[in-house]
Amino acid sequence: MGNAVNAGGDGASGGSAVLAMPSEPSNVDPIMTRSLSAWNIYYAVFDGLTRLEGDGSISPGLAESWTSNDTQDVWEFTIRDGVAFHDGTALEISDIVYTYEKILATDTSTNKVAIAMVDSVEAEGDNVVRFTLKNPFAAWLSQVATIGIVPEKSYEEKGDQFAEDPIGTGPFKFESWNHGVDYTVERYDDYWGEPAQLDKVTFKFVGAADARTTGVESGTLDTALIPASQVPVVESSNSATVIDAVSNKVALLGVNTTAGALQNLKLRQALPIAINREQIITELLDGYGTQTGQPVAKGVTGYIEDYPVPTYDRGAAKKLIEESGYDGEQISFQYASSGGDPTDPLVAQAIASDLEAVGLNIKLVGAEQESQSLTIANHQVAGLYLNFWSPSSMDGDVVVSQLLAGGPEDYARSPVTAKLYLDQQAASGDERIAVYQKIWEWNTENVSNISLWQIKNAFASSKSLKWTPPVDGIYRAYDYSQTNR
Amino acid sequence: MTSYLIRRIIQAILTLYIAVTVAFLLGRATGKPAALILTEGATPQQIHDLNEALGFNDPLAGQYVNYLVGLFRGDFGLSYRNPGRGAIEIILDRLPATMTLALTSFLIGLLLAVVAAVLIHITGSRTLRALFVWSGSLRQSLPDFFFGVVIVLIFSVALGWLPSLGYSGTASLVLPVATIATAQFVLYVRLLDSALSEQSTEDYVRTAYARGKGHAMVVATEMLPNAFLPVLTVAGLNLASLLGGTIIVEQVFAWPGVGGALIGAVSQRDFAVVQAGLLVVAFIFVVVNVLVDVLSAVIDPRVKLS
Repeated sequence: MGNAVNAGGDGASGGSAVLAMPSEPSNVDPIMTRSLSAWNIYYAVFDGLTRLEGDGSISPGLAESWTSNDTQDVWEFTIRDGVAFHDGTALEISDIVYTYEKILATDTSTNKVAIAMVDSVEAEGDNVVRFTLKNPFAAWLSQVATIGIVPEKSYEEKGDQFAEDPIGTGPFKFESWNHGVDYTVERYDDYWGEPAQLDKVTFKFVGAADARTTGVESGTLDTALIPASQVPVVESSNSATVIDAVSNKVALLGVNTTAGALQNLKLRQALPIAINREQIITELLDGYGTQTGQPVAKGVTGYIEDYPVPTYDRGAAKKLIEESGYDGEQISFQYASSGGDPTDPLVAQAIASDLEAVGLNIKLVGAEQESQSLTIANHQVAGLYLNFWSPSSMDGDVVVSQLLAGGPEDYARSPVTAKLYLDQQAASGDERIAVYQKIWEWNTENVSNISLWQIKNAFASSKSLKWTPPVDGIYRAYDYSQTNR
Repeated sequence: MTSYLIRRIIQAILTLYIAVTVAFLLGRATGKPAALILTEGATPQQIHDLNEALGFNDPLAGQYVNYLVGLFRGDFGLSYRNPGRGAIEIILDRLPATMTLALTSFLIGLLLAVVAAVLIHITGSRTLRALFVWSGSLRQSLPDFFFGVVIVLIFSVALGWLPSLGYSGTASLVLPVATIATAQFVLYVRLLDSALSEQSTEDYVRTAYARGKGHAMVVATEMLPNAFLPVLTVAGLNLASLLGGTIIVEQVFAWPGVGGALIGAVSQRDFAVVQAGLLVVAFIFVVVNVLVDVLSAVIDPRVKLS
C-alpha cells in the first residue's frame, strides 16, 4: 500500500489555528486514557498502526500493509521504514509490542477494555507485528487506529509524567499543555507522511457553548462545535461561517425489557411508531438530525443503506397498547437534565408527551449526565432512557456489544443476538454487513432499544480556515490549513 | 492576641476537618466511579476490578481512615482521572488564575466604590449618589452570565478590541474583571455611603473642621478610615467567596479557575480532587476571615479580639 506522499519543499502553507474543545481530556497519555476529547490530541501527536480518517475510512498509518487469516483472529502488520519519534529516535517494532503489552498490563488503563481480545502481540522479524486474538475480531483495523504508539524508552523513563511531555511519531509534536486552558502542538517537519499544513495548532478548552460561539465570531477561536440553536447567530456574522457535518452519533431510546409493563412485546412495538421523530427534529433540533431505524450512523461499519425507519402512526400505536392489556402502570423515563446536550430535556419531554398521547403513563426522571451514565453503565435503568451512541472506532461492533450482546444496555440478553454478534466478529466484507442487517432486524422486531435519529453536527468556523468536518467530531489537525494568513 | 490566634487556629482546624469529612461522605454517597472511567465496552467484571484496584470496594470506614492518615502526611491522594497527577496539584494549578481574577476584580470594585463614595460626600450631590446607586443596582440586577455575554458581544465580537475568552495576558483579564468588579461595586458604595453619612455627625468630624481642615480633606483622611470598618467584614467574606471560585464567570470566559476544576471533578466522581478542592477553598475562607478580624483590630483599637 503506502499511499503516503512526501510533499517535500514548500508544501506546507503555514499559519496557525485555535480549535475549541468542549472539554479538557483528563489525561493525554495514549497508554492510560481513551476518551473522545483525548483523541483530538492523539491524532495530532501520535500515530496508530492504521489511520482512521475523518470520513470513517481506514488508511495506512505506521503499518504500510496488513493481512489477516480467514478467521480474523491472527493479524500481521508490516511497519514502514524510516519512522522517527519527535526526539529523533527511530521507531522500532519493540515500541509497538511494548505499547500494546503495557496497556494490557495496566488495570487502570481505559484502553485495556478496548483491546482485551488480544491474546498475544509479538515481533516477527524486523518489520512485522503479529497479533493473536482470543476470538475473531473483524473490527481490529479500526481498533488499532485508536491506539497511539509510544517510545518504550521514553515512556519507561517518564512513567506517569509522560503525558506532561509526550513524544510520538505524529504529524505534530507537543509544545505545551496549560491545564484548564489549552494544549498546543507544532508541526513535526520530519514526519514520515505528508507533512501537516499548519505550523501550530492550539486546542482550547471551552465548556460553555455560548462562549464557543462568541469565541469564533470574535476571532479568538478558529472553529468550534456549536448547538444547532446558535447556527442562525453565526450565519449572520461577517467573520464566521457554519459547517454542517453528518456525525456518527445516533440518539436512542433505551428500554429495560425485563421490567414492569415494558416486558410486554406488543406494548414495546407501539413505542417506535408512537414517537413523532420528524416533528422533534424540525422543531427541537432545528433540523440537525436524520430519522433512522438502526443504531449506527451512516459511515459507521454496520450501517445498512435504506434500512426502514418506523413510520409515525399514533392510531396504530394506540391500538397496539390497547391490545397489550396495559393497565396504566407507571413507566419511568430517564434523561440527562443537565450536562448532556442542551436539547436533551426538551427532547425527553416531547417523547414523553408522544408516549402519553397513546395511553402510556410516563414519569420523567431527570438526572445530571454523569449520574445518568453511571446508572446506564451499571445496568440499573428501571424503564426507558434517552441515550446516544457514537462509536469512535467507526465500527458497529461496540454498539452491538453494548446494546444487544451482553453489554450494560442489553436487558434482553437474547442468545440470538449473542450468537449473531460472534458471527459478525468472524465475518468480513458484505457477509459481515449481512449479519448486521439480521441484528438490526431482530432489534426492530423485539424492540430491545429504539433508534431515533442520526445527529448532524454544526461547527462555527472562521472563513479563512480550510478543513473537512470529520464524522466522529474529532479534529484531524493535519487536515487544517489557513487560506489568507 | 496570642491566645485569640491560638483559639482561632483550633477553630479553623475543626472547620477544615468537618469540611473534609462532609466532602468525603458526600462523594462516596454518589456511587463508585469505575463504570464512569471505563467507557466503551467494559464488562461488569472489569468495572469491579477497577473499583477494587482503586480501593472503592473497601469498607467505607477503612477508606476514611486511610484518607485522614494520608492528609496528616500531606498526601491528598492521586486523581484517578489524571494518572500521575496529585489531587492537590490539580487544584493548586488552578489557583493562580483564580487569585488573579478574584484579587484584581475585588480591588478594582472596591477602589471604584471608594472613589464614588468619597465623591458623593465631597460634593454632597444627591444627583451623584442617585446616579452611582442606580447604575450600580442596575448592573447588579443583571446576572453575571448575561452581563458577561453582553460585554463580549460588544467588545469582542462587534468592536474586536478584546479576546472573548481564555487566560493569556492582561487583555484577557479585562472583560471577566469588568463583570465581577461592576457587580461588587454597588454593594460597597451603599455601605461606604451610609457609613460616611453616619460619621459626618460625629464629634471628631466637627473638631476637624474647627481645626480648619477643608471639607475634602476631612472626608478623605478623617471620615473614610472610620467608615471603612463595616465594609471590611463584608469585603472579607466577598473576597473569600471570590477566591473559592467564580464558576459562572469562569464558564462565560473559559477561565481556568478552581471553581471549574471542582465542578468537573464532582461530575467525574474524581473524589480525591473534590476533597482537595474543598479543603483548599475552606482553608482560604478561614484564613481570610481571621485576617479580616485581625485587620479590624489594627484599624480600630476599640475592636477587641476575644
